Amino acid sequence: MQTGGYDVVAEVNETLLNKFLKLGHCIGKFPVFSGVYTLPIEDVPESLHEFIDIGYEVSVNEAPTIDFTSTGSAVLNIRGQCKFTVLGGIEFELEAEFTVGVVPSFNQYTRRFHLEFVKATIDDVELNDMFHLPGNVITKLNEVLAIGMEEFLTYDLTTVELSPVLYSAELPYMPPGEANKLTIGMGNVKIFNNNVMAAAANLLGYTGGNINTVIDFTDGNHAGVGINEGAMHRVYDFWWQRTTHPKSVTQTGSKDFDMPDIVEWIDELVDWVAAVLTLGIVDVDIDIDRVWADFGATVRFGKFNFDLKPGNKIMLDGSISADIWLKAYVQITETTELFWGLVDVDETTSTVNLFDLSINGLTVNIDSAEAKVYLDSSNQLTADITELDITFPLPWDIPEFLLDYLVDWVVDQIVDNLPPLVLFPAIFEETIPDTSITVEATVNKLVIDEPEALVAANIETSNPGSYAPYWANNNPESLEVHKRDCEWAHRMATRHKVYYCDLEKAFADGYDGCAYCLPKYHHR
Amino acid sequence: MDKRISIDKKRLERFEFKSVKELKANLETKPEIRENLSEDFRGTLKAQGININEEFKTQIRAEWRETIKSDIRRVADENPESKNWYLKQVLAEEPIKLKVKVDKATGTNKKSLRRSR
Repeated sequence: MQTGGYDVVAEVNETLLNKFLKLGHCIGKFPVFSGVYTLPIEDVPESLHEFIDIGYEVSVNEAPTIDFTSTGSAVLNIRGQCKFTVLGGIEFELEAEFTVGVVPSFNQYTRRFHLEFVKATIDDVELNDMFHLPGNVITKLNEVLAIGMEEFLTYDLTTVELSPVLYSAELPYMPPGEANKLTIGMGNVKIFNNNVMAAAANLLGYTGGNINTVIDFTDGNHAGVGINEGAMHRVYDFWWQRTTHPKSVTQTGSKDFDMPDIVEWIDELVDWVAAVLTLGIVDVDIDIDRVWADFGATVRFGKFNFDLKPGNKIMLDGSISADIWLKAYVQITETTELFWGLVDVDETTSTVNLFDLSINGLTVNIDSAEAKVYLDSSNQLTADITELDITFPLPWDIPEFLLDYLVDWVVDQIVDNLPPLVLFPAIFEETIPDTSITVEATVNKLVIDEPEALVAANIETSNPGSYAPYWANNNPESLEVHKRDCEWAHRMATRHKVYYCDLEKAFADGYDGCAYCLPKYHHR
Repeated sequence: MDKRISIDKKRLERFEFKSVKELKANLETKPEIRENLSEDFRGTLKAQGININEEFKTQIRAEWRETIKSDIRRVADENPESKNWYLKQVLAEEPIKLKVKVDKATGTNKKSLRRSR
């Protein structure tokens, strides 16, 4: 068992987290922060206060990267750009590299990984020292920078939420309301083999599992989700109790039988009609105009029992209660008017009701059924039944053309209206909350084994056009860069659009700022 | 479907409608009754002392059904090669046991009888 006895284990590769850190940087998850640091010098006259205040403005100027270590910890490498204002107006700019100790964790409410910043340390500083400051001043600025960044990264900006939503808490066909969503409780988090992190969770109040026995099942993919069979049973029970999906269906039908259907019974049908019309005492010729049946069934489904099997299969069994009715008729035109009251009569035809049967509460057993499990287009773990053994104890001795047709029809109603087997919510949700970014998971592994289902996928995000904050126009007649909400950005031809997360990079590539939305950077 | 069929009166003899048994016997000796029946079926029945009331209808219906049941068993017995009739299971007082193969692509469910164990 690779999920360690937990209900669900989500795993992500650091490659995916780095991809999402890049995305987070692009959409502004690491905002510019600024403040004033007052040097801790006592008894400074009020007129000199501005000289002990150091203003700072820090931004993360490149996407941070995360690195899982072999000791099971994680660090975030951040390159920041800092601007100091000292002595009432003198500005210094510098770039600094930080290592931020992070505690990766999993938010069971959002079903996303996030990083909690615990300690930031400065690794390197490159000061644009046009004033040739003495060493002790540089040292003091470094201290300020370290304090500022640590505050920024461990107080102002305590966490960054990463990764797509790995699984939903909402099941299909459920009424609205929090009570009808799955409750997810955190189990534990583990980093293994330098590049994969696992988060184990339990559902619906279950407690159990051992993080030490969780195994990396991503097989080199960006992410994986493993679901224990016990969890599937709890989810299915929870769903079945609450779902709005119909658990019963009523269908009706009508069928006209032609000569090939009734050929083996034609003599008997004629005899039956003639006998009841003439009481066997008068010779007649009759035209058989029509033989048909009206029928219907109400089928009430019960909850299935199921069992995971190797080869992405599930075996099921269960029972169904059915109310079934059938009325079979023969319509004839006769040559002699003989009616004596048992049959309905109009001017030219008689209709004899051969059979009028109904049965309520017939128990139809699904002795066993085999279902193939796959992820459907909405990444829902879906079980499609491929084969069923049904026991159908309908005791009606009626001609086989009627019985065969009716039984087959009722079985079709059962099979075609079976409620879905909801085993787990959607895996890898297709949107990232509070963004316009969509996610597409390419499932490369789906393994159903006796105790669990394991899914691994590579995750791709939507085109940068859906989230990049700057759009440049590479049409030689333009070569301008715009904010994404600038009306001129939306006027450019798709073939000329170039997307940037960073304005500086756009300028470095030779674009000029738009006069309308970036007038400060418009130079042409 | 429009199929004209002449009734073979001999075949109808298996329907033992007891209420008209005496009338049937009289038909052999009094041919005018047959003619009267063709002209006025209900009136002739009444004249022969047969009252078409609910009790009469219920009895006729029950006897008719009995013959239908017996016919069904006979037709099934006469077709021993038709092993796959669900009817054979019903007449043997066994449940119909089916194997259903679902073809989602075509939307068809292929059914076959399972052997009882």
